[in-house]
Amino acid sequence: MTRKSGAATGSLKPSENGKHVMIEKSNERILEVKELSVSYKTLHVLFDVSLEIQTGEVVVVVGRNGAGKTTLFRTVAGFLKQDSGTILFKGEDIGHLPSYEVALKGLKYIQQDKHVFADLTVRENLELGSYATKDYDWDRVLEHFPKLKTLMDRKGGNLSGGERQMLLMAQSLLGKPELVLMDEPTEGLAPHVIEDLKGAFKKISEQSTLVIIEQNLPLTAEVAHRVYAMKEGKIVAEVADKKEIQDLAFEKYL
Amino acid sequence: MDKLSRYLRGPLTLVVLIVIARYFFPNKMTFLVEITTFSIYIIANDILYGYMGMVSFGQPFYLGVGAYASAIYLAHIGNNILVAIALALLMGLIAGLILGPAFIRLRGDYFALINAATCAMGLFLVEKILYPITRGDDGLWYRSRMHATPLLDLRKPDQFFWFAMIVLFVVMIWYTWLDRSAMGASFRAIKVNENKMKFLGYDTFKIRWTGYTLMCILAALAGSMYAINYGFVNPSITEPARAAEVLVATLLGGAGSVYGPFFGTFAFLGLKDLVSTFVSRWELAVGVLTIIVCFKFSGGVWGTIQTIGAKIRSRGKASAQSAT
Repeated sequence: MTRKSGAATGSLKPSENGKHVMIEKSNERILEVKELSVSYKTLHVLFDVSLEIQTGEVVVVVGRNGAGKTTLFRTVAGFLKQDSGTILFKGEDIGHLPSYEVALKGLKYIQQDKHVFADLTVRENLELGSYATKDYDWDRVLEHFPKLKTLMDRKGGNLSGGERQMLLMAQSLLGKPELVLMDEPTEGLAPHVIEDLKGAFKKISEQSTLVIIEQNLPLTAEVAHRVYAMKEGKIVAEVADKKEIQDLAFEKYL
Repeated sequence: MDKLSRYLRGPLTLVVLIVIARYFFPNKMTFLVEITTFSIYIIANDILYGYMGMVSFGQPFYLGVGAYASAIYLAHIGNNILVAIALALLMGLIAGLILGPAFIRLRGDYFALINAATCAMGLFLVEKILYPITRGDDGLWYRSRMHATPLLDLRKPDQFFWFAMIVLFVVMIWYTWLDRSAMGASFRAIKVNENKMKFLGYDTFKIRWTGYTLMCILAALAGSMYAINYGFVNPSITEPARAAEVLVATLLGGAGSVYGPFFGTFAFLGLKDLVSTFVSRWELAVGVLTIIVCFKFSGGVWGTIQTIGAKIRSRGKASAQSAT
């Protein structure tokens, strides 16, 4: 079911206001994971996982708890080291790089725990994102999360779950990452907050390629261009047909 | 200008208060200089513990690096006090650069214990191995060898007081800047969630190394000031048992805050000074106070002052609103 790569059909072009770089879906591979195997000491968690992500796509990875989704993301982000296999980001092998170098290359990972720096204000949290990437264009980032503008002096610890998720997403967008990995961004959030985030996903996907781990299948059906289903440390299915995605055809693999 | 005054206001107020205290209590000048020097030592520890969450049981070693660098120079090599201070700072930098990469790989209790072990080795070094240079327990005496320095003669206690005020002022301005800077925020952030910092693109190893090296330099500065103020150094300055003093003073003042180290030092040395005039075991009073702070006032003296101030301000705002 894996797609064949081909020439890029899309291109990077500036938006009307000249501020954004709109990204179009293309066949250009931004991420390739080949036969990735990962263990936690003696516990083998991922078995020869292979997948590829094209520029401009929104890809959702689904699977039950313990399927290895988070391990896959953490390995791609450089936090875990693989036993075997390769990880290519824009054609470059990043499998041996530490996580901070992976982030600086334009691949950001938003952890599942919605952990913001509780003692720091929203402004300071954003400053940390800016300081690492030298990207101080907050207007571009906060455009997607206008609510954060009213919370700049609030401590991270006093934010709601949805506000924390917005802050994490805003923070990760600093530095204009080309690929963002989001680990269960809507977990534990109220339906109206998820609605807001859904809009944000769509806007963000205009600027970065998105790979999301998501348990919320209706949301997956709405935002995904493609779905990978994982089970027991393996990719068991790839669904690329929009109608199949909308019909939640991937559910049978879980 | 407004931004500049934000950095100057606090340090200036602090220094002015010490100067006023000196004129009201002229016989306490030595005590005030001790508070100043010890505050710099506690700031060094606060960077490590308060900001970065790394507990060290070996801080006297770093104090000793600066003290012995200045003392050995003044006792055996030269007479210039300013060179002695510069040497101490250099040795602090070298200690940070050399030991840092090995030590900061360790976390939690291992980091605390490797520092304790280093401190114990440092004591053995100056007491036994380097005896020909350090004179072991007899200590190094060099007051008569020190030459006068321009502008302020640092050999004279009343003029050293002004030098200590200048150093404290500069260090406090820098510390205020650090607290509000991205570097300070990154120190605090790795204490909370180092992995997240990595995912943001930070090389957290370099951040911890930077913090550790800054700690070494500041502790060495404090050690050098001790050495010059007393004109004498002996191995007791590097005793591992004295590591507890540093942690207690940091906790008492309020870890991870700009003024915490000063208030912690004031509370610690003040209690020591006050209680020891009545009973010989002043440590008991400090111990009881530390337990109370740990259980009831985790923000320490400065944190408690801030909390009370915030309550008063919010009450003032509420009453103003109800009046309108």
